[in-house]
Formats: sequence, structure tokens, C-alpha cells
Amino acid sequence: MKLKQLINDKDFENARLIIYLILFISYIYFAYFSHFQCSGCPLCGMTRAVKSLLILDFKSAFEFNKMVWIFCITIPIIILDIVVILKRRCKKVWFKE
Amino acid sequence: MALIKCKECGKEISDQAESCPNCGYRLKENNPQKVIIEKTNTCRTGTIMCIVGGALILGFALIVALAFIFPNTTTPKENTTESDITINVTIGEEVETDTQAVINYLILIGTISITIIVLGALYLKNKINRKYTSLYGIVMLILSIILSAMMTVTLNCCLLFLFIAPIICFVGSIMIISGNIKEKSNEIKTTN
Repeated sequence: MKLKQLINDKDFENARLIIYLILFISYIYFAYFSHFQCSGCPLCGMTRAVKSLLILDFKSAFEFNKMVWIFCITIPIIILDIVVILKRRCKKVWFKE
Repeated sequence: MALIKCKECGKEISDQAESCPNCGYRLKENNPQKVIIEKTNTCRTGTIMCIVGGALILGFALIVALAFIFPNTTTPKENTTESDITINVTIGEEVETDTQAVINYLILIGTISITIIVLGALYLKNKINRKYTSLYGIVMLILSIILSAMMTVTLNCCLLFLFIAPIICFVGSIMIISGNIKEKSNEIKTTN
């Protein structure tokens, strides 16, 4: 299956939407309820960095862990993907192809 | 409308016809393939979710394994604010870092995630017989529960939010089982 076919596959779209919903619910949990910390590996401080990122505190996020830039890239991609899927599903007139 | 060959007599007939005008072979009842493909969408969506969850867990296991093989020499910055409450999660007594135990743990979760990915790929490629879909769903459910339990128990490991990945596998396995139940109930309705 080609990449474009795979991305436009209806089942894959449904799976992506459900995964994004799970991530959104997890955002609420990790922003307000998670208080865990680890040490000793390159991913040290990643949970704290993601928590700072969720409240848009980019300076603290990069101080906790430099690799948090991965999330800075993936979050806009996820938002774009949701918009494209919903556009295709709802067939709104004002979006131009 | 397209012309197809009758499976009984080989004459060309319309694909919209209910039966062959030549021999009377009934097309609609004996062509269940299309119906089956449409009905297994929920199973397919669940399988894709399991593969994505398995891939996330495998990636996590590889990164942490590399971290223990090539340890980080920098110490974490202690930026504590008023809202920062840190709790060191331990199981029973204070846990000492045991590299071998961690590696064994990572090998185990890596193996389970690879199993999930391989089974998912086989299912998507139709290599798994569709009559074993319920068994496949139950196997994925058990593997996702094991992964969720392991990630919950070892919370002193980093990246708590990767607990999301076993949840994705769990939801995917539930969708596979529910899709299979729905398909079986539809089959019972059509036979009745």
C-alpha cells in the first residue's frame, strides 16, 4: 500500500482520531495529576519537561530536557492531521484544496 | 455496472444481477467476500491501534536500553518551584538500580511489543484466518493487560506518560473483540 493511500485509509484515520483523543485525555491527567520524577538516563526530566510544555512554559521545558523539541514538532503535526481528517469528513466549503 | 463470469457456467453476466440467467446460480448469496471486508472495519482499526501502541513501547524500550548501555553522565537540574511536588516511587524497600534487572525487563516488554506488531501485521495482510479473529482479539487483550501492568508496577522508570501506549493497545484489542462480536451477530441475523 502506498504512503498516500495508507494515510488516507479510513481505518487508519479512525485509529489516529482515537489515539489523539487518548492523548488529549492524558494531557489533562499529566498537566494536573502526575508528580513523578526519575533520574539517570537521557530521558531524565522528560515528564517535567512535557508538563511545562503543556502549560506553554517553553523555557522550563527545554531546561528540564532538551529532547522535548520532539513534542514541539509532533504536536503541530497532530493538530494539522486532525484538521485535515475533519475537513475530509465534514466537507466544509471554505477550505480550498 | 460491470460484466463478470458466472462461477457455475462461465457465461458473462451483470454484477448487479441476483442470479445467472443461464444456469440460475445465485450471485448475491454466494458472494459474501465484499460483505465480510466491510464488516471488519472495527477489527482493522483496532489492529492498527495495537500496532501503533506496540511500536511506541518498542521505541521506548530501545531508548531506555541504550540509556543503560551508554549512561548519561550529566546530573538533572533541580529546578523546583512551589508547584513542583516530587515523589520517588519505590516498590517495597528502596530500589537500587540493577542494570541486569532493567535489561531483562526491557527485553520482556520489547518481546511483547514485537509480538503485538507482528501479529497485527499478519492480521492486516489477511494471513490470520478470519475465524480466529476472536482468539486474536483475546491474545492482544492479554498482551496489552500485561504491558499495562508492567508499566504501572515499574513507575520508578522514566516517562510515565508512555503508559498511554499500553492503553492504546488495550483500547485496540477491545475494538477487535467488539468488531468480531458485531460481525458474528450480523451473520446470525442474516442466516435467520
